[in-house]
Amino acid sequence: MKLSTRACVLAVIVLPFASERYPQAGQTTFRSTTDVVYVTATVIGADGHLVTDLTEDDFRVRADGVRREMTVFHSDQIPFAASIWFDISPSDVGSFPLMAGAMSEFVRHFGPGDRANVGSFNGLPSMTSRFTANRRTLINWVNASLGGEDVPCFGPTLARSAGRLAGDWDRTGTASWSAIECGIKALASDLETPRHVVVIVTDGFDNVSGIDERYVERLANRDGVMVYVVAVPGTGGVNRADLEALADHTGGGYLPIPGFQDLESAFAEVADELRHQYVIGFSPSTATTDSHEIDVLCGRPNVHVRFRRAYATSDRGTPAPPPDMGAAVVAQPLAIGAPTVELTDPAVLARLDRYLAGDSTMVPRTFHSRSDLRIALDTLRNSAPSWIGAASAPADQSRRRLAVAAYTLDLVAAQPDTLWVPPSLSVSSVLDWTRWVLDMGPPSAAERVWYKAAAGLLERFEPRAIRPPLLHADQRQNPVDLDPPPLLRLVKDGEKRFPGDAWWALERALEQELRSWPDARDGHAPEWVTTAASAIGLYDRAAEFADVRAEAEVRRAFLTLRLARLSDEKTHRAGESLESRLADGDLGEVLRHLDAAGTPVAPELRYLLNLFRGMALQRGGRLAEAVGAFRAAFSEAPYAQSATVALGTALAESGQSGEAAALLSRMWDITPAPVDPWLFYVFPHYPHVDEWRHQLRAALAP
Amino acid sequence: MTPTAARWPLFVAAWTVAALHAQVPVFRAGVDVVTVPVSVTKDHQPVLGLTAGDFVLTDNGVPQAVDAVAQESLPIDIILLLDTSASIEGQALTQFADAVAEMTGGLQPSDRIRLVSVRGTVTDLGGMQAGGLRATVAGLGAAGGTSLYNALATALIVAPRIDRLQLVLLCSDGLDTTSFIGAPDVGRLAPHSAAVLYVGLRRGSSDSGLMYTGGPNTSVLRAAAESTGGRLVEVRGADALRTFFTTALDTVRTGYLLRYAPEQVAAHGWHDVAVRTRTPGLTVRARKGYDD
Repeated sequence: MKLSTRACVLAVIVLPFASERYPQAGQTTFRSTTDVVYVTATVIGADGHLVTDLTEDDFRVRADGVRREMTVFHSDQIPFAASIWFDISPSDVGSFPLMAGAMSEFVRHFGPGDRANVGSFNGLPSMTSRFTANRRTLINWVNASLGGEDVPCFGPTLARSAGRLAGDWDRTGTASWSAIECGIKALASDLETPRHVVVIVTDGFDNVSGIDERYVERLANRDGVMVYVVAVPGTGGVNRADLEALADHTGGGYLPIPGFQDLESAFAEVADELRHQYVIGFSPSTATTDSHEIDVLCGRPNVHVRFRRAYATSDRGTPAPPPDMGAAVVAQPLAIGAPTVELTDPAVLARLDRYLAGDSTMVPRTFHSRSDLRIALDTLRNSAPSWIGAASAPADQSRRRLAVAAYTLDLVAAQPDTLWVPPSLSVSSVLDWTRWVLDMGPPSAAERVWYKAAAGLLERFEPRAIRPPLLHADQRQNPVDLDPPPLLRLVKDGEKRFPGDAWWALERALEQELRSWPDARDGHAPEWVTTAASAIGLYDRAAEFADVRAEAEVRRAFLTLRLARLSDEKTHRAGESLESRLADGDLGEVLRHLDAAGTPVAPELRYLLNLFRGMALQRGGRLAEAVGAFRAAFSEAPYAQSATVALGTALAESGQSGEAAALLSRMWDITPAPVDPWLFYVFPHYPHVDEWRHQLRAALAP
Repeated sequence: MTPTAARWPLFVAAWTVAALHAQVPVFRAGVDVVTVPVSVTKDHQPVLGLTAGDFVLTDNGVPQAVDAVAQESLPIDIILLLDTSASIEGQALTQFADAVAEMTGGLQPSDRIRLVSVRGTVTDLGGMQAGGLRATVAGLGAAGGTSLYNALATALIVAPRIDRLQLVLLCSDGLDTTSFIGAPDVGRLAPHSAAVLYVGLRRGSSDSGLMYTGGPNTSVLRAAAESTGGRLVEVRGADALRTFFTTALDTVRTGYLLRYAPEQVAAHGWHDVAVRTRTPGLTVRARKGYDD
């Protein structure tokens, strides 16, 4: 195992030093009025081994494109302090002895002056309060840390508030970025050791940190901390690209290992590398910018030199937190088990009161930063339970629950799309919480409307959440470990709340079909065929309910048409033919189900029925009949673009190009364009969200 | 339905209309005349000064006697399809806007341009406008889905058969999310259009939302463009987009318009057209055929 694609790594450290010579271990006089940029380099030869015999003459350094004279060069072993972090979120206790063993191996490589502390993290990072070189103490710390006996570090807003409410976010979450940040800040307080490094072992995907890798990178860059990542395959994958970039940009390393059994050797490799690096110092660039480009050349042939291309000056203060960092929260350590009384904001209670009273001027704010939105959501989460509980009568409590749910929908709908960054800040997590609020009371008719609106918001803000996640090879073999997509979770909860309701039967089929999107018109996704095909049976079941039969039949017919189109697309991509007719059987099936839909009452459904009939006939080679069907669709919604373009195309193909051109020219002249039911079909709930939200508020009227 | 089974009388033009502009050459014909825009390049540079005698054109394999005129003297009608969907936002949209303003400002007054915004709904931004005025599209923003194929089909059909060169320019990441028709429909329509299609494809997100992964359907878009005598060009950055516009317009302006009255070929159905030059080593782009 070697450091991932890494041959020569230079970490740029900006530290003020007392003299031009590197201080010896044990000295505490590292601060000075003279700034020196320190670059820590790891050089690996063509044989993959560390190159340890380079001299000062083998290196050249440039800053901002200008060669800089090296004022310091060290090839001897420079002491380091390491903050070692273990991800315990998805791990079983069986891996804990391996972690302790790895720590022991790491310490075995220690030289004079080397020290470490230990941290562990799930949704909440915790770490030991000081650094030590004592092997026995460190092993004890590892065991204590994994056992949850050390001191919680400051944690991300979301993890803390959600943990207090739901009780298990701190146990099930993964706060990799927060853990690295904790390590960097702990190292920053260490003034005794010349070099600083964070080593993090993780098998998870960060899902709760209120910060991101860019912020952590800036922090590491300012404080001169190298980050080494040991990545172990986990059920949810790891933030590989981001972690690898962080390691690369900080001059550390990224070591993927197949399992915890290789952790010891990975730690040995990291320790060995840390003991065989070069430290180069030069006077900083005179450029006035905060960030400086750096270039290091190595004159030895057949060694690969990789180095960080920029460094940041340290005297500009702490980097600004990223916009999605929870603001009001991070200053103080959180005592586990603290009572849930914080973050209850009287202003939120007043807003909920006004909302419940039918004050139409009370609309949730639109936020422009993730931190503000996150705080607002946290505050709502913390305030709502007590606000609901303040009502004494069960009916009043139910009404308040519905008010919270409706208010949350309004809050979500009012935000720009760009503020939502799943999974750390997602609409689906907000909706999950809201359903938890609703589940505390009996269902109501208005709650059914809430479910429909919630589905629409998922379509709008989190379309990817509708699909199942992309799977790694090992996950495909064990798909039961995966959570269902958020829309499916919502539908399942809805079925439980409203058993026997025909709408859910249709909704289950629709959810299944949506997971089969994209339309195969341009895609290369044969796996979607299976998903789409499975929705057919669900539509058949839904069609047994008279209330939803027409829509179920129309959707089933079009799904059959889509599936039949796959073979055409495949043929077309192969360049064999631009044309392929619908097989007689497929065409017959499509038309049979369209006929079974009867004449729907809703004009938009009649539009779609005729639109799909036209496409089926066109693809079946019955062009004249297709033109007739498209004309019927057109008559339901004149100049709606889907039917107009379909009709124009069919007319052109049937030789009526003059009428086609006139029709389409007229379509472009109409501004704004008429509402197109096809776009409602593509996004079945989203276009109705506003209407349903209004219904909810009306239901709350005193 | 196959191309040969359908009637596509789109491309046979009876040039009985007088020139709309005094500088426009006048073609008159008592019988149906087929016109074929052609571009000729060598090492990616246009080849100028060719005459009818330099071309060999066959219609369904039968050599035809052609006239040729330089297209430089002809005015151009442009339909510019501008993808302003959510997948084209921020810097990309700004680049689009800048390049469009520069391109429209550089047109001749006798040229005309129609700007069309392509989102889930396709919107004509103001009808045909005279060339030479810098068009402002920066305020459009970017949002929603992309009905790219709807827009392309419409543009290819509405391009009229008059004595002005018809050019359709598409600037997009090529990711269609909301059209009802599909890429094959565009592929079928393109060879029968009066317009030459140039596609400027900007690589964007590969996963733009609910309806779509994969794509763009580069092969179909390229085939559609080439069937009209145009091209698909992948553009990256503002300069590349400007270059795309410049290339498309220069290619059209430095091309030739071949015309002939078909002889010794069937009167109805699809006609394969092949054009080459008598001088070897030259690259010729021309539409692949027409319907009679």
